Amino acid sequence: MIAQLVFVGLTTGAIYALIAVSLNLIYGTMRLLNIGHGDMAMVGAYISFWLFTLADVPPYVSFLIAPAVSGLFGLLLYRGMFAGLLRRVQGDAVEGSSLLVFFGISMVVQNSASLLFSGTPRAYRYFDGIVEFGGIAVTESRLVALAVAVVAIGAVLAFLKFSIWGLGVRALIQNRAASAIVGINVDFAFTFASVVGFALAGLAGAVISMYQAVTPFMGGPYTTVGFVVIILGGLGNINGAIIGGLVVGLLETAGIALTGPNFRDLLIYGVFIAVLMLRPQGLFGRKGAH
Amino acid sequence: MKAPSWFAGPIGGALVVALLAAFVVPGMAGDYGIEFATTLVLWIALVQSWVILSGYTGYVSLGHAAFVGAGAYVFILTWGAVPFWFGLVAAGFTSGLLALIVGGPCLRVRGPYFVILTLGVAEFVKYAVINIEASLGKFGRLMIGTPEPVDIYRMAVGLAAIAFVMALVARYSRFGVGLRAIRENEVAAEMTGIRVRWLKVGAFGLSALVPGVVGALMICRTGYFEPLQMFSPQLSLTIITMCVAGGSDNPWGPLIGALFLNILSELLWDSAPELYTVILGVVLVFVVLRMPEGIYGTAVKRLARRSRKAVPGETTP
Amino acid sequence: MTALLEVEAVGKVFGGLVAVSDVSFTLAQGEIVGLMGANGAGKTTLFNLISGAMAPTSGRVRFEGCAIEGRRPDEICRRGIGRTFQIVKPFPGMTVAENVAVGVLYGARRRTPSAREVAAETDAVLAEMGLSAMRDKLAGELTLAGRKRLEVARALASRPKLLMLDEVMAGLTPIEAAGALDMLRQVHETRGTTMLVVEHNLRAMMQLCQRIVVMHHGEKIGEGPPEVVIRDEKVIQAYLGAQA
Repeated sequence: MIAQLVFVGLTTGAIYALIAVSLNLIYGTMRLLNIGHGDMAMVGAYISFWLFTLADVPPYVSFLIAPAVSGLFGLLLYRGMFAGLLRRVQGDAVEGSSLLVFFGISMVVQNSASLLFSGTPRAYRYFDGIVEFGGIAVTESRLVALAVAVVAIGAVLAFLKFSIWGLGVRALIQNRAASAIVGINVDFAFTFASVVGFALAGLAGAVISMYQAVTPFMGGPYTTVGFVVIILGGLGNINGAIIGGLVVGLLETAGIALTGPNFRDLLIYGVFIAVLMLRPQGLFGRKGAH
Repeated sequence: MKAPSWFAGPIGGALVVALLAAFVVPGMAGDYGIEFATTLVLWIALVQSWVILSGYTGYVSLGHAAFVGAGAYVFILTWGAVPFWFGLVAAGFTSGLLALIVGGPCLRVRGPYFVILTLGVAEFVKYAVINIEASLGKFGRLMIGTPEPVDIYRMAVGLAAIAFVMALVARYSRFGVGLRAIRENEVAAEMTGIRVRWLKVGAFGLSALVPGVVGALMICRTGYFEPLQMFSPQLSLTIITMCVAGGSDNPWGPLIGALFLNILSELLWDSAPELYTVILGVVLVFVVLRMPEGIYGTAVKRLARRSRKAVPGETTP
Repeated sequence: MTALLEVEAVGKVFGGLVAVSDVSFTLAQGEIVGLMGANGAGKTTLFNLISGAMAPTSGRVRFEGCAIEGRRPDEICRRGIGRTFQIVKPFPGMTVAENVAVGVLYGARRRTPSAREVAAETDAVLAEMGLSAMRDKLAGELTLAGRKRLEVARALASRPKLLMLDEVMAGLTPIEAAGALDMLRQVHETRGTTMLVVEHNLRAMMQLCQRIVVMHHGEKIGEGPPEVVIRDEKVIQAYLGAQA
């Protein structure tokens, strides 16, 4: 029973971590607060759903197509809007403005989806067999979700750690002003963060669509959880986001098991408020670390 | 600085407009007109209350819905047990009190943290109410014997007038100068003798009074209380959009923003509510990127520039 | 003369770093005292400790005989200590006149001034600081010299008994700096305000200050009249050492 719960918590947490890492990549580099992040996941989920339903494209192929589309969207948004905004505005104003812009984008994306596809929840079945091992029973889709999240996060971490470009991105997250001086290509890092950040959100959505009904407004809760996680792990702290995602996933699973689904949101927001008030730098961050 | 006598004009004007709106409009407009006007006037009350904290101090709150919902909840709980007016006042003061309680800790964090925290607090309050209601076995409550639409409309007009005067006095008084100084540079404001914490928490409390009453009037209109609807984050986000579209450094900008978006909503809502929200989003993105001071702020600046050009000889060192 | 400000064995430690260590000095009513030292000597930290931006780890700060260390900056301002910032912090979105009015409205006063008093006093301070022509400009649109002048004006508007100036001449052209110097002397002459001045411009300090306190690595290494202090062995060594 405990093992079962821990496993479910880890799969949920892995997806949260995937969303939070991508959210943090965007915040850490550009200081943009993307409250439309969950909506990118929604777009990925619809892509996966329609490809499967209309063209019989299996979801694992969508795991490549969905991030490509949402990554392209990220590229266009960066080139078209945020590159200019970041040149004009500095400091706290960036965060405030970006929040409002992303809120606007979120309204456009959500309601366009609603106009195009209606509000009807849509679902499809794939990888829905049940696997049992060591007393744990779990659907294949959850296992696949866990695997995809681990691979995607691992790839991002490896890129950041081992490539020279990744070093630049990490330096930028640490200190933007100093990075520009030592010759780091800020524009590349921003483009990278936009494309990869949005692509991972789309990927998360494609994965989620295997086991959750797709609706135009499914993204909101994921955005909220994403923010809860990155506040827990520290804004801009990539490793913190991974641990934070797993913590929230486990906490949520345990909370539902202990108290019932009604208290799930109360629990999440309660933890969130407590962390923000007591340790606004995150559970694992140091003061002024970012 | 403006002399207090300066207030007499706008306050008198607000009174005249409110009286006209309250007693002339119902005679001219049909049921549909009154419903539209009530919606408009309630939004005006909300945006005016929001700017007192978020417009003047720059602490952008995404949690205004919490105060609307809390007011509505108190109002429905006391419905039938206390006189109508008492319920309205209790709704306002409960929200104000809630703001004073959460304001202290919330206003210690700044910038994006404050924005996200207020959203979190509002959602927390929402789910707390949902859970309380669920444990009582209630999933929404009905009210019987609510006032006539015209009377609700008149109360809403009165409330909007009060909210406008509050926002106006808060903007142009000593209090408002302090709030704006906090927005411009909090450290310097404190070093210039401003009791930063008192002012911020005070502004938060003040800005929560009106939405509490708005919540009460909103459920009077529908005769129904449902937490998901009354605490909706969409409500907070729409308030922000109106204020940002109009400009949020003074009471006039939000007034224009509310008018603009309500008319837009009225034109589009019936035929295509989604299209309305899409356009709302586009407007928001456009305003933030192209005219960050909002419609009113940008217009004032343009006019000032034009009049400055008309007066030659003034050189700047 | 009675002491207006008494700094007694004040120290500040950040983590393991000692920023200010055991510094003591006093300011008499009406004095202008300079605070000198190389970058990192702890001058700005000392300013922050006196004005309440930070609490000292040890020691006392007395103002008019009252212990004020660790009190809120706004309270210290209302007691009569005004300051400027090395990195200027005007209210950029407010006009020059509004910036000054903030000082008038919230500074050291027994009661809230009436609108007429605020207007009159704002005008007076603007005129005193030569800012009248720019009163309706936004503070963010001023030149660096203008913003520094505005900070002094805002601090003066709060009617300080002690005015602490953190490098108000740094970054200005020689002509602007000379203007600033004249302005400070004028203020001292007409208002008799006590001043504590941090400045790197040695000539300006010699002209302005009656006494100079020298800091090095967080400690006070010398104090006395300007012409004596600059010949002090330890002071010269500290400065040469810092340059070498």
